Amino acid sequence: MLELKGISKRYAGEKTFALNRVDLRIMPGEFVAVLGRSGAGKSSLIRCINRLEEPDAGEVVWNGQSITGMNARELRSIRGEIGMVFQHFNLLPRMSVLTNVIAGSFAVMPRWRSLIGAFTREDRTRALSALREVGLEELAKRRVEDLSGGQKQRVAIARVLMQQPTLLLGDEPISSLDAVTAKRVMTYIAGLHIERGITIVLNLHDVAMARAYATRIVGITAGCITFDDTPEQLGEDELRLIYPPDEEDGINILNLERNEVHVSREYN
Amino acid sequence: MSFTAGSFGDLGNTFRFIAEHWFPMDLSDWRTALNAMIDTLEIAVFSTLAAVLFAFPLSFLAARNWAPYRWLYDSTRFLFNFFRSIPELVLALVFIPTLGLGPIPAVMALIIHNVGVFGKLISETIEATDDGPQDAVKALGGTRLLVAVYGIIPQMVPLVLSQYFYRLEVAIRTTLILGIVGAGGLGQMLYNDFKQFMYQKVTFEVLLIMILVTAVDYLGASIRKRVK
Repeated sequence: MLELKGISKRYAGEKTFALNRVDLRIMPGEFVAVLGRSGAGKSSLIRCINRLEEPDAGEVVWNGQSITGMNARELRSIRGEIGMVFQHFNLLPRMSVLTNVIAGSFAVMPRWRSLIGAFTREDRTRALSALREVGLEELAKRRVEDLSGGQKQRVAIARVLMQQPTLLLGDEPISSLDAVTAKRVMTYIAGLHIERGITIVLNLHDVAMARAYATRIVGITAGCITFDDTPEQLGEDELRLIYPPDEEDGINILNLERNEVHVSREYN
Repeated sequence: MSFTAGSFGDLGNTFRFIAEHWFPMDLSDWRTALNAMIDTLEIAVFSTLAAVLFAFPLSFLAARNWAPYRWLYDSTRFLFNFFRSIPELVLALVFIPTLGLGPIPAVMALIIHNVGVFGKLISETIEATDDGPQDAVKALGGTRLLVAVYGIIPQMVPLVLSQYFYRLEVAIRTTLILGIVGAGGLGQMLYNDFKQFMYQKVTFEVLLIMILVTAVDYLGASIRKRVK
């Protein structure tokens, strides 16, 4: 179980809190989609879980262990159990697809082997098998710079498969992909949830995707949780709460969902 | 004494000096000059290579996004600033009483000064790298060293190569200057010939310097192209 207890985060030089005393309890096997406007605190929430950002206050507990109370060595070990996919894929530059996937087992590999890239035959076999699962086995030797955005995100998913985590965090993993590729990537992520029972917490900008794949939706507004329920309960009022209309031009999420964005008079 | 456009009124003197005294080129010492050119290249290559090898690991300690402790960051940066602030000529003069005349004081001077220069350039390159791959290695449970090896170094390779070849070019010119204090190589030959008014030999030596600098520039460009 993942528990966030009173997590607060304020970035240096900012007056407002990115996260303001957030409490959240996620049960094993849940697929949680986190929704909210840009700057609402979604990324901070995800990144505070594995301490890529240090929370200013509060506690993160994973399977009874306090992540926020861990020293560097313990933190590295727990990070090995928590997979993460990123908006911009964050693959290891100038490395092959295969090396990128093998990196998924850095936390359990002897340090010297990972340091000099002395991977075993077993590492390679497992990485190739992970690549096969995402349909990229034939690209194993290619450099990651040569891949398309969708292929890069599938390599990132293969890295997660190699890692064999029990929790997967996603920081807007489909935001920089086209609609078709995004759906394909979401299908792979849903596969991790259904077939392997991995608990998933994803930031998403796409409400329809969240409704389609998540078992639970959490809405964040200005660093606070304003909605936490099943996708079925996410109605227009709740959406208005998560996505407050823009004060300047009145654009709101409901218009966008119905494709009814009107160009304001001055631009006509 | 004022410096005005009128100061160039006697510019013709310079042209006349070159035209009347520097040509035709005197190639009689071409073998010695060629050997001296190779000496110059060896001093510059060895010094810059040693400097970049020392500076590379130290640069991580002087990069804000990697240094494990603030005091280590501050002290490494101070060390780089200190090394960089002393001109190579002064460093070479300081080493002459201990190491005697010859290329060794020049090599020491070039290494120390360039550790300071590379340290600044490389640490600032580290600070400018994309956080994304570093976050990925951290999120995978990687150590600080793994973050450097897989998240930072691959991003830096082409830039560091470019910095290396630029500094090699500068080191060649500095080695020529250090010839004045007995470092040997083409610089010392050029200085001696100039003092003895053998300008036609100087012409050939200047030509060799131009060839050397251009060759290093082309070599650097070609290697950088392969390492894209």
